[in-house]
Amino acid sequence: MGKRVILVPLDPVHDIGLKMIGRALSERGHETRLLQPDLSCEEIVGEISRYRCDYALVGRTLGYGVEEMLARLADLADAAGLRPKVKMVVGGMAIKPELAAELGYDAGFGPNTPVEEVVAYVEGRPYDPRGGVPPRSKPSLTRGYTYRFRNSEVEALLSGIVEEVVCWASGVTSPGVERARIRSRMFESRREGEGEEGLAREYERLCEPVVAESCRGAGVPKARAVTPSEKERLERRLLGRTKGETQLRHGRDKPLVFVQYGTGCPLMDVAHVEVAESWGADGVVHFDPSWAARREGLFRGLLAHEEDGSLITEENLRLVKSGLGDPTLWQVRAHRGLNTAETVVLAGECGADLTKINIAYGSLGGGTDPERLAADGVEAMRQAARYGMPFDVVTNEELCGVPAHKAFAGMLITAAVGIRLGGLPVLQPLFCRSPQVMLEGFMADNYVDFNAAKVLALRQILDAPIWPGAPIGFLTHTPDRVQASVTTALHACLASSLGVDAISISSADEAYSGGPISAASRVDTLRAVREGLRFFGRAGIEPTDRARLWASDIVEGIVSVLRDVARGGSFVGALYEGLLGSREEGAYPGRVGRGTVKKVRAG
Amino acid sequence: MRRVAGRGQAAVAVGIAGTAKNTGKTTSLRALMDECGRRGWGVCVTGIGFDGEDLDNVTRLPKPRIPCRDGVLVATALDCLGAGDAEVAVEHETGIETALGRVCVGTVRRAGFVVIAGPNKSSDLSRLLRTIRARPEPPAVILVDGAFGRIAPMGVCDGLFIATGAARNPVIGPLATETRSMVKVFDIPKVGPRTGGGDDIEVRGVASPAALHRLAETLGPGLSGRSVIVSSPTCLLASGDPPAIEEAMERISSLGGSLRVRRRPALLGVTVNPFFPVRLSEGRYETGRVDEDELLSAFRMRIGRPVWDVVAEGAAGMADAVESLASGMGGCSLEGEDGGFVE
Ligand code: B12
Repeated sequence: MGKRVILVPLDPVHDIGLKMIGRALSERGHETRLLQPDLSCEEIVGEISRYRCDYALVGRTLGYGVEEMLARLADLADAAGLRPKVKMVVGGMAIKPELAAELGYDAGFGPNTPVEEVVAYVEGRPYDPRGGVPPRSKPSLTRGYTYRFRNSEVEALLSGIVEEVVCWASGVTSPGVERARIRSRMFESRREGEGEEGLAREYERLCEPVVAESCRGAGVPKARAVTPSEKERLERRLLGRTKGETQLRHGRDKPLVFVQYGTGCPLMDVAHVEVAESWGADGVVHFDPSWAARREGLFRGLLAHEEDGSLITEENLRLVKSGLGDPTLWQVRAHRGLNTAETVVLAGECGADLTKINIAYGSLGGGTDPERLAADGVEAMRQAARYGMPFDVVTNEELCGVPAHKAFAGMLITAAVGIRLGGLPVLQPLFCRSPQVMLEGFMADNYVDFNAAKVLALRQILDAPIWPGAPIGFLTHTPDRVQASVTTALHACLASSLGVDAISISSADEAYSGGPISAASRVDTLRAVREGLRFFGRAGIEPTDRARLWASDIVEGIVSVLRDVARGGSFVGALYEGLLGSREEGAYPGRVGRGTVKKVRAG
Repeated sequence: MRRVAGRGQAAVAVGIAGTAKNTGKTTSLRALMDECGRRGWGVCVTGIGFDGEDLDNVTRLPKPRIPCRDGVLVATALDCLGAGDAEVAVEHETGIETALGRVCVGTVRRAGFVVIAGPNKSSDLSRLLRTIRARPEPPAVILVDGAFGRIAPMGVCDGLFIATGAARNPVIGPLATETRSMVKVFDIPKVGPRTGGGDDIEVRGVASPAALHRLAETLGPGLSGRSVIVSSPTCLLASGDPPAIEEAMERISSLGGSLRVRRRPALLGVTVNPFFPVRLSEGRYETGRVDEDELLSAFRMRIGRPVWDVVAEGAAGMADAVESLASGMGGCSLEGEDGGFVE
């Protein structure tokens, strides 16, 4: 049945919002009457009572003197006995629901209220912000990619290198490789309802003492156990929670936007993930402390770490998972340490969608011995393939000073091994002002060309998903949160314009927080990215001709590095020798885990 | 007074109405809640606004929060339940809708702060009071927190405290005069059994001073011997400045007429707050204060009702006033009173 609605601009002039609402209501067959602005409260109450309406929609735009006026109008209407008959609603730029409650209105609608929401309220229907569109489902990063090479020379070189790596790896093992296999069997027997005790004992023997003790319930350095009541409180909060859906993109379905979390405390992580999801993040990345990646073995327990980075334990991962929204992609990084392979197993078992593996970066910039990480990395990729879990191959060694083409050569070798083992690698070039860029002046004019060149180069080589990271805009951020948000948003717009599959963004205080990342700063960059993507829509950013030139330089550089690696006959050897990044360029073959790789006896 | 209202006895509903923001309404409420707790009275707390947040919606100044001990009954909007840290076991939803969701009634199971946004109009407040009184064991007192100088919904309470102070007007003289006028409005007699006859004039809708003056204008000496009936003192106060109302009342009585109200809450006393916010620049405020002794003595001399500074004196006097109101109501049911409200 049609309603009678009076529209009241309680404002000297502003009434456009009310007019829009009025038009929508009339179109739906309701009777409306718009009062002129600038009437006194007494006059308005008189009009409301004469019009015998069901709803009085009061609009207020100006932010001054709002409370007194609105409170008085509500009180007068109450005193006049109108309230039981007329629902009084207030809305406009100066309004929020708390204020409406406080000032005596039945409902309040703030700025950017969809007109449809007001109409739904007047009609007494629940408002569906998605307008009947079904809820988001989990997107895929790798769907539609063939993993076919487009550059036959690169393809040929890589196929030789890959054979060598796979063959070498099948002849060696390490404590990390063994632990991954035992873990895998532990999960297996848990599923089959058999005891894990024997396997657990075997596992502990492969861990260093501090880790083995934690498995038996001892404390963990720099961490404390989350108490059952803390956990219970979180679980209670998670119950019955509904999540809003914000769409970051506008008119495009790429790039997916990832943010990292890793406050140290898994409970806090759940809260940060929730903030990120609420502001539109498509995926979240688990950041762990680097010291833990240098220990043999993974700790056990629900543990809060006192510094940045959340420990990777089964309990921690399961808790975070329980807080994740259904469509949210979840990446657990495995890329750089002594637990790379077993982290992949754990991630797979705990329901992660993605992981992260790169032998070259982990051993040249991540501190792990190249031979060790090569052995563990290959096992990690086998495990990832077993779980059907795509992994990105990050090229952070660029941040150490390694030129892009060398970092890319390392990435492509890892990716090609992954493909060979049946896995789904995702290429992760950096969008950053790297040391190379600074030295060579590649960004003297703009930040667009060189970043674009990287994407163009990779596309010329392989048909695979591309996920610039991590985070985009590295080394362009300053402590100024507005600046950091703007530069993040601009890099996101470039990524969108290039049509890449995903990006990782930082918070506005990530580089300079000097402590935990604040939730507000997460919102800063998510909002900024959304605004940037809204601004460009499907329009694009046009790089100059230099982008194409640099792209061919990069491809040539990659080919020449791969030739050198192939000629040397050993990928691991190439890592030590600096073919994929030298000491002069800032790449130091790591030492953690040196000498732990053993030959397996044939048979 | 006990934990629960006696058999056949209605829980006494007492409102605390501020004359402006920062007049100490929430502070008075807290003090009174404390005192009720100390005396072992069962309490239900609700409010006609939005209160209990830690910063003021408008000035961003810190605000007193509302702590509740175990066993206190609260009636607040659904969205506010999670906002405080008290644990409230919800017993039922009332069906009263607010801008922050449906009003729920529940008992505090673990003490802590609550955020209160209850029914914000007379008809809904009256409905909530009925609901609370219909409980198998109604609390002895229902405390209704006010909001932002709004007074109209308070008309359905049995008793009322007014919280005023320097935030309303930092000049003590006019503040006391205004409060004195408010008291006079609450002193307007109720319609007696004999009034309400053919000669009386019932004012429906807004009884603003302007409307009363128009009446006096039109009828002139014709008002002589007749009662002008308005629904309640709170309706009068909602529509105009207290001194302007007083002036209109005087004009009516000078013409031989008299003002009457249909129902009225008893004005139990006034609490005063010497502090007031001073706006420095956009979004920045600091607190100023007026001389407290001067404020109190000016009020005590002129108001004709008890006056307290609850921060200095606590709320024993307020609680005594509530107790005598309740004993005055005796076993009588209040149904007739608030049932007079037409929905
Ligand atoms: C258009 C406009 C005007 C027009 C108004 C024309 C008209 N008929 O409305 C004109 C040019 C006349 C005007 C004048 C003034 N304006 Co002007 N104006 C604006 C402007 C540009 C857009 C406002 C608008 O209509 N937005 C579009 C509508 C659709 O949005 P909306 O109102 O928010 O409505 C949405 C929701 O709020 C909600 N909603 C709105 N009303 C209601 C009601 C109900 C019941 C419900 C449920 C929902 C609801 O639903 C709508 C849809 O989402 C804003 C700046 C800006 N960027 O917003 C300044 C702005 C509002 N104006 C402002 C000012 C100060 C003025 C003046 C007072 C300036 C002056 N000193 O002279 C003068 C008024 C002079 C006077 N006589 O008093 C300021 C207010 C600042 C403040 N914090 O209060 C603003 C913000 C500009 C600024 N400084 O940045 N203005």
